[in-house]
Amino acid sequence: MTGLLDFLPFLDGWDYHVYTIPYHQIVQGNPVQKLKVEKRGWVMQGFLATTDAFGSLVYDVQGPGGTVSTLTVDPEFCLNIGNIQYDPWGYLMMYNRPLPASTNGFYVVSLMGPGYSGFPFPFVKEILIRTFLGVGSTQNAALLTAVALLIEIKDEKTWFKSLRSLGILPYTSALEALAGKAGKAEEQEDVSKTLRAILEELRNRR
Amino acid sequence: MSLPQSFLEEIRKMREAAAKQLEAEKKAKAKKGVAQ
Repeated sequence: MTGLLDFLPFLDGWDYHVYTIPYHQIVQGNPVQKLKVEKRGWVMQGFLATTDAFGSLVYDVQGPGGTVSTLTVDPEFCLNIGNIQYDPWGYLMMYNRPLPASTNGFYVVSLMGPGYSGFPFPFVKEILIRTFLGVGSTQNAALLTAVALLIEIKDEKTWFKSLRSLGILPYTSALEALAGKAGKAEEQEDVSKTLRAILEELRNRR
Repeated sequence: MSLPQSFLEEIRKMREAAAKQLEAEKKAKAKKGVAQ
């Protein structure tokens, strides 16, 4: 199915942004904020590498209504729900736990892998990435690093202009003129004016 | 699938740091054993 993302190569005003969160120590307790992006866009891909099975990554994504949804993921959770094979939502790529009594090891989780069956996750205004060590850990502290590939709308004006140029968004002024919403009452009856507006829009389209 | 070089570099550094930490813990345990 063709979606808006398929038209991205023909659109303007957006950019890829790859954020690498350097490896750092994580401890049990409240998640610590590591990345804040105040833009609109999509999360295209993410990876989490940690030295503890409970090393957790938290995505705080804001929707258009201002509601913040929190998505938490850790390697142990992926294993528990059997999320160990390729899945566009994300999956457990590596689970290296040498001692079953200890959560120490090396773990990698993929998040929202793109592709034909990709899972682009939209966010509005703001996205936060936080990290912490889950309560099931046998360690006092562990290490974690992550990467997030985002598609950000850098310039909204250019973005909408390019959407119009592809005809994805309608030419509002021409449509409004057709619907008789533009101008005053006497202008609404002026057919030539309406036609002129449509012709102008068509000229801009080129 | 491709990953940014910076992320691979971070993983490498992290694994080195984790190995060092593990080594230190092992040494500390061995010392403790000798003391006992």
